Amino acid sequence: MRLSVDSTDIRQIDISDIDCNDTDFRITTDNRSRAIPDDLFESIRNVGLLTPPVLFQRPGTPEPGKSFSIICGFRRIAACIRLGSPTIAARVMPADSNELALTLLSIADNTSIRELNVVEQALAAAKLSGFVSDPTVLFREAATAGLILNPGLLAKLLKINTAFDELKDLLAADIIPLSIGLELTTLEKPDALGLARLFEKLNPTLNHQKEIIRLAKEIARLKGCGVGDILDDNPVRAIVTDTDMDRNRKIKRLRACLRQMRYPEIVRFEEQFLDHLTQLHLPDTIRLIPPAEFEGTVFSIQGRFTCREEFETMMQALDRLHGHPAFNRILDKNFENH
Amino acid sequence: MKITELYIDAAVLDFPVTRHIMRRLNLNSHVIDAPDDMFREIAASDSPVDQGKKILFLTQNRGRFIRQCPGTEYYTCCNYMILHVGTFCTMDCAYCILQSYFHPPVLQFFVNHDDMTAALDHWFSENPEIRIGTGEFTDSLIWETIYPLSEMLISRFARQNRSVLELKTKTVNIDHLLNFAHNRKTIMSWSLNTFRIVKSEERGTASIPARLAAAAKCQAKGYPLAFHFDPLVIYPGCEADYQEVIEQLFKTIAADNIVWISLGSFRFMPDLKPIVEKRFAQSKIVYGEFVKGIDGKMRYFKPLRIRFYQTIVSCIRALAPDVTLYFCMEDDEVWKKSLGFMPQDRGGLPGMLDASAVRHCHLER
Repeated sequence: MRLSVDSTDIRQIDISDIDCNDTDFRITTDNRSRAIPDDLFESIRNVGLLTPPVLFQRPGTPEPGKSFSIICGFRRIAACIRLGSPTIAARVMPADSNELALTLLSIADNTSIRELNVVEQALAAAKLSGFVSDPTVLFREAATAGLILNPGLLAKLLKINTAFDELKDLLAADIIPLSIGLELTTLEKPDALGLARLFEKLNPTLNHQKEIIRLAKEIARLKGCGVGDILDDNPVRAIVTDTDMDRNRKIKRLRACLRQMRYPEIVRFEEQFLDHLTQLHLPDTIRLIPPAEFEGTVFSIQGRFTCREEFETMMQALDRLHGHPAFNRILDKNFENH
Repeated sequence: MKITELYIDAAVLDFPVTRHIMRRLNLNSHVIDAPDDMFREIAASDSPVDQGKKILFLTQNRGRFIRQCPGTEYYTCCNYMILHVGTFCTMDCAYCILQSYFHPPVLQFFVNHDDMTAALDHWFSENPEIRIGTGEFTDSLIWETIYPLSEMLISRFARQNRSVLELKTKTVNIDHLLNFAHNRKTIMSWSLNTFRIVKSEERGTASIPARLAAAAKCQAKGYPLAFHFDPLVIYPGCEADYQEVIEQLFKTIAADNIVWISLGSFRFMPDLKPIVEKRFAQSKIVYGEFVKGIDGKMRYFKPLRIRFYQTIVSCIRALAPDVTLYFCMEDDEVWKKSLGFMPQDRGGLPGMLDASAVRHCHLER
C-alpha cells in the first residue's frame, strides 16, 4: 500500500481549520506532552516552514471548521500556532486516500529522519495491526515505511502499547529497557510504577533490574501481597531513601535485602559460613572455597606465595585448620541453632 | 481432566486395543497418517499442557517398551526399569515434570500390545532386572478407565518368579484388580503428600484417605505395597503435616507389607517454573529456597533438605523401624546425614531394593 505526496499540491490552509486534537496519525511520543523542540521552533521563527506538513480532509467533514486531520507535522503545526501564524502551507492528501496508506505515510515521515523509540514503534505497530491482520502482509507494509518488525517483536510491541502512560514515558526516555517494560506490564499498575520509579532513581544495570523484579515478585507471591508493599516495606524503603548512601551502594544493599527476604535460610547459612571462616583467621593468601551452592561435597583451597618463606607461612596456616572447631563446622555443612 | 478428542495413528486403526478404546470413549476420532500437525497445533495453543491433556493419541511405541529410568550421574539412581505403556496424565499436578518433559505434552497410549508382550517375554527369558514399573512417564492406573491394561500385566507377571511389576498411581482405580491372581508379583504403590499439598497442587487426584483406603483393600487381597513421598515440599508447618500423613499411613497399612518407601524432595528443570506460574497462579511451590543442583535441576538448598529429610526419616522410623526407606536421586552426603548410611554400605541402592522385592514378593534369585 503506497501513497506518495509528490502528486499533491501545496495549499495555504487556515490553521483554525486544522483539528490538532485528532491524534489518529500521531507517532511521536513528544506530542503527548505537546512539547515543541526549541531548535524546531527557532528554525521556523527564523527561516519559516521549510517542509510543509501533510494534512488530510476527512470525507464528509463540514467546511469550514476543524476539517483537516494531521498526517505528518504535529510539532511543526504546533510551532506555527505558537508563533501566531494564521495560515500554513501544507500538502493535502486526496479525500479518497486509504487510511492504511496515510498511516504508513505518518510512520515513514518519522522513520525517514530518526529512529523511533520503542513506544513509537509500539504505537506504529498497533496502528498498522488495526488495518492488517495477516502478519506477513503487515511486516511487508511496515517495512515500506521503514519499520522493521518480526513476529516476536510485534507481540512485544503490542503489549507495550497497552502499558500505562508513566511506564511508556520511561520506556520512551530509555530509562526502562524493553525487556523490563514487558516484565512490568505483567504487574498491577501501582506495583509496576513502584519498580519503574525505583529504576529511574537508582538506574541499576539490566541484569540487576531483572533480579530485583524477580525477587520482589516472588517475595510478594510468598507473602500474599503486592510488589508495591514489598517496596514500601521498612528495610527496602530505608535503603532507597537513605540520603547518605550513594547509588551503587544502595543497589547492592537493596539486592542483598531482597535476597535475604526471598531466601532467608540460605542467607542465614551463608552468614554462618562466613562467621566460621572469620574464626579461622586465614591470611589473605589463602582462600577456602565451599562447593557451589553448598550442593556438592568438594571444598577447595587456593593459596598464593612468591617464595619459600611465604609457602611455609601458608602451610602453617593450613596446618592450624586441623581440628579447628570452626573448620569442622564448615565441613559439616549443618544448620546451627542460634 | 476429560479427554475430548481422539486421534488415531492410521497404522493402528484396526488394532484390537484401538477398537476397544474407540468403543469405550465414543468420541469423534481423527485418523491421521502422521502426528506432526496435531503436535504443532498443541504446541501453538495458549496452553499446550491443558490442550495435551484433552487429546488422546492412540499410536504405536516404535521405540523400546522396556527402558532404563533416565537418572543422572551425580545423584544415586535406583536403576529402575520402565515399561513404557504411554505418556502424560489426565490428572493435573502443579509440580509434574511431565509438563515440561514432552514437547509437546500429549496423552499417548501405545496400542501395539503384541510388541509389548513380546518385549516382556524376552525380558523374562533373559536375566531380568528385578524391578520394573509403568508409572514413570504416566500414572499407571489412569488408563484403566479406557482399557484394562493392568489386568493383562498383572496376570503376565503372576506367571513368572523373577521380576516384579510396580503400578504407581494417585488414583483409586483398583476395585477391578482386587480379585486377580497376582501371585505377589505386582506391587501396588501410591504417591503420598500432605493434605495441604494434595488440595492446593494436585488437581483431579484421589484424596489421601481414599488412596490409603485403596491401599488397604489391596493389602487385604495380598498385594505387596509401596509408597512414594515424592515430591516432598517444604513450607512452613510441613513437618507436622507430613507427620500426620505418615501416622495415617501406618494406622492403615502394615509396615511389613510395604516393599519400599521412597523420599524425594521437589526438584525441577528451570523451564517448569514459568509453566507452573502460568497454570497454577496460586501455587507457591516454585518459590522455595532452591539452588541449581549438579544435574541442572532446581533443588532445595542442601542443608535445608537434609534437615527436612532427617525429620521425615525419624517420623517413619519411629513407626516402621525396619521398612526399606530410600532416597530418589540424592547423593551420599544426603544419605549419610539423613539415613545414617550410604547405599554402598548395604550393597548399593538397586541391591537394597531388589533384596526387599525378593523378600516381599517371593522372587527366585
